[in-house]
Amino acid sequence: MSILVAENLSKVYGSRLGKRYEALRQFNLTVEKGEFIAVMGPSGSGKTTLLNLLSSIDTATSGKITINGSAITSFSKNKLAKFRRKNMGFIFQDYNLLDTLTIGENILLPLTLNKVKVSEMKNKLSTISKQLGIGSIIDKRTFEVSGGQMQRTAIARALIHDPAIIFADEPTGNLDSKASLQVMESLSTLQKVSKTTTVMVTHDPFAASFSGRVVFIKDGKLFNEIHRGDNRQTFFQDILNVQSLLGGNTDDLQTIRF
Amino acid sequence: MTFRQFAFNNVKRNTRAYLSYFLSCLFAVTVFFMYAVVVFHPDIAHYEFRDIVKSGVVFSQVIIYGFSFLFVLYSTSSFVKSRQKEYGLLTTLGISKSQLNRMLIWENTIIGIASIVAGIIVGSLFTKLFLMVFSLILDIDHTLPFYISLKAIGLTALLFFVMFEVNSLAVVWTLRTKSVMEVFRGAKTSKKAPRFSYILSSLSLAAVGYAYYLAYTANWFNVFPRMGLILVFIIPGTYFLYTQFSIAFTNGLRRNKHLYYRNLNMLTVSDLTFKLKDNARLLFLVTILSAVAFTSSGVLYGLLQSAQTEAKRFVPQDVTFITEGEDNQAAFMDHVNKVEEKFQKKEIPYHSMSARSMVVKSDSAYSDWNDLSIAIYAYTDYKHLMELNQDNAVPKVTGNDAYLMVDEFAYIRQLDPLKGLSIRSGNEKSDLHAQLIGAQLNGNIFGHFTMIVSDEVFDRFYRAAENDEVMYMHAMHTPHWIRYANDIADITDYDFNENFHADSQADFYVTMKESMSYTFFFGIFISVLFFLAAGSILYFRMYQGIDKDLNHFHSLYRIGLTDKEMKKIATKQLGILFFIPFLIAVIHALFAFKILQNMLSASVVLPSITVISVYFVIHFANFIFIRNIYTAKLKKVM
Ligand SMILES: Nc1ncnc2c1ncn2[C@@H]1O[C@H](COP(=O)(O)OP(=O)(O)OP(=O)(O)O)[C@@H](O)[C@H]1O
Ligand SMILES: [Mg+2]
Repeated sequence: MSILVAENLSKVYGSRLGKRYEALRQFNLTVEKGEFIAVMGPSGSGKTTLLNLLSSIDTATSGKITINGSAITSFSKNKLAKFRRKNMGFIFQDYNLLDTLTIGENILLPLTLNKVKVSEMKNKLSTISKQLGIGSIIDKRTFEVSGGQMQRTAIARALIHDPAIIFADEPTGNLDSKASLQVMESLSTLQKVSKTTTVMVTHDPFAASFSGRVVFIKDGKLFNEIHRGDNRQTFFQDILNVQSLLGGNTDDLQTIRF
Repeated sequence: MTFRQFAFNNVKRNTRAYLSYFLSCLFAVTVFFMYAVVVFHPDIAHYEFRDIVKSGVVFSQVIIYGFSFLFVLYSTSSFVKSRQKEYGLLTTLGISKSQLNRMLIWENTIIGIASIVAGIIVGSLFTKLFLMVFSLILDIDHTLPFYISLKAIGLTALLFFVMFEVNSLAVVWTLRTKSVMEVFRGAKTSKKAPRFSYILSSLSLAAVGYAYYLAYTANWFNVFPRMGLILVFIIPGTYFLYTQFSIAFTNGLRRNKHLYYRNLNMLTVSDLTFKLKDNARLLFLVTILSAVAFTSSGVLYGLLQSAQTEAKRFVPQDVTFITEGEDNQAAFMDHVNKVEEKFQKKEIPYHSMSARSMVVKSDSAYSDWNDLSIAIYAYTDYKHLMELNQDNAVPKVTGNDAYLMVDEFAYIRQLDPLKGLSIRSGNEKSDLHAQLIGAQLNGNIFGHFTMIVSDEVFDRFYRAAENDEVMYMHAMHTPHWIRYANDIADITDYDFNENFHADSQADFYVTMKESMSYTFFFGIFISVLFFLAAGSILYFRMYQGIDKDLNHFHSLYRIGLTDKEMKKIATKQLGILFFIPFLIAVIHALFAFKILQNMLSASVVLPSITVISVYFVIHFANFIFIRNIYTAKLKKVM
């Protein structure tokens, strides 16, 4: 069963007179329930644009997006916001945590908006923070914890309300290799346990190798798509191969780790 | 790109920060300039009230300058603070310390000069209006002509130029003490959880409570020493209310998870906690400014409005004339006739009557009450006088019963000894049984107190009275005297000498009004200024903080907050920041009005409600204005 279907998605920036830039052209994508897919491509290829459209943060110039059977492209802004908080979880490169809240409160935020019982909130918080190894910092504030911990907090926040789908934009973009490993391991483990559909945009072949399928885009169009076999290391190698095929990756500085 | 181009682009892209800074400077210059125009206005200089008016204006001028200084200093430092990140960036990119200082001073000088020029222009536009109001209030027959002296321009330009330079030097000096790292972090450092102390929080409540208690129980005799004491408690109390108690309060809210975790409460409360802490000093300042504005305008307006009631309190009868001694009777009647003729000529309606009275001496075992001169009236005469004035008379007295009139100030004297009070005159002597009543007849210079005695006792004394103990009293009732107050005051003032004693409510009223109106004018002007300053401080603060808030709201938008919810949060927070200081200032002012009420007989309820309502309307309009700017900006995050 497909949970997300995008048909003929286009995005044109700067539609007013002057420069028009088509960041995404007639893009099609289908994501199955429980799937973990990574979107890769050179800088400026339209990855963030795609993710913002899929997650309804930005509106498409044309095309149709269906999530869980609802055609969200026809929703009003207000309805979208409510749909978003109920059915989606978000992980951003800049963590997007609120520095006025503690770590725990940040994680609970989606639950407070969705009107959940306080006792249930507490249970969920302690479960998920333990799973992510941040149980000991839930009373700290954002400036007191490391980048990796902040991103794991963001993961906890994205997952705590059992959303239908999670969107992650460069979750490891601001992290060093050790923190990246921890974050990606937590994300893929939790993803497997809860079978939450996940769409992740990344530059990082290492991060992408945790997914089940990698979609490559170039100049706003689908370039290629590869599936993971049994082995993450061979998948990583495949990803590198496609990247060199893409060619436009000279501005992508990669670090290879194992 | 040259350095100059860089600086120019800098200003262009930072429009909001520069504009709000510029506007606050402009505001200060404009107000000062308008006042300076009045001071140097040639017609004012020749006006007969020159000295009193001028010293009032000069005094206001000094206050405005001092206040502007603080205001501009505050604006400059928050302006620089909002741009510290930029300075940090420039420093890391290799701009030298002296280059940065020069840039800062240049910027400030340019903005300063621009706001001086603009302020003088704007001030000139408003001056016409200002002069009209000024003429109206001071009862100058014609409106003062529009005239702007070079002196006013010179003084404003000079003083403000000095102010801006001193300010930018002060700011440059404080910037120097920060390391590159500190500068770089700029405004981002204040995200630690706000702390508070339970002791200070409760002390702040106690201090405010005690000050309120002192105000509530103040009266004529203890008000002056108490005034200082009240300030000593209320100012630090209010300060800690914001810096400590407010944090303690929001922390309390956070502890109640059922409330805190519901809907938007967590977002609203947690953000508010930081806003309260970041703005505590500012809110304190706004509260004190507003409280001063409310109190002084309320008190002044209350006094002005109370003139009629106070006139009735101190001069119970509309108009009275009195003289002592049989020899003066003919001249007195002549005088009275002349006065009545004048009333007729001016077509002032009146009723009048004459009454007998005489002066007697008191006898008492207590020195306080012994050997005082007392004016006595027969009950029947008293009753007629009351009827004339349309006041209620006290019940009839017979035999040795009597009434002693005392106003509230006489209560300082011991009243117990009254029981053994007797009056004497020549061979007559009478032990009286006196009861106290409030003042209902005008006092006069011939007797310390006034007594109403039974007709029998009065007749007995009057028959035996000496020539110079007899008094003649002529009373007039002038309905709607307020309408003719100036005329009546003029007529009764005329031909006053030691034998004829005239008293009128109109005279009291006119004198009180006159002396009040100058105070009122300057007081209200400064109050309004304080209030506007308080409003604009809030406004500039919001204006400057908007970018940071927009980031915050963008984060929320991404997670799925609706437009409506964001507006709700923003409105709630802005509302609290706007109306908490207003509310506290109103409560402070209400207790100040209570002090005034304790001393006046006129009710200050209506004047104080009027004053506060007017301020509320202005404040509310300001709030709506800022809220709309703010929520319009919210659309941009989506
Ligand atoms: N708001 C915008 N207005 C105009 N053009 C935009 C806007 N956002 C993105 N673009 C352009 O659209 C193209 C795609 O941008 P997008 O952010 O999707 O790239 P990306 O693949 O995420 O790049 P990166 O890997 O560097 O994050 C880029 O050429 C970019 O310049
Ligand atoms: Mg991107």
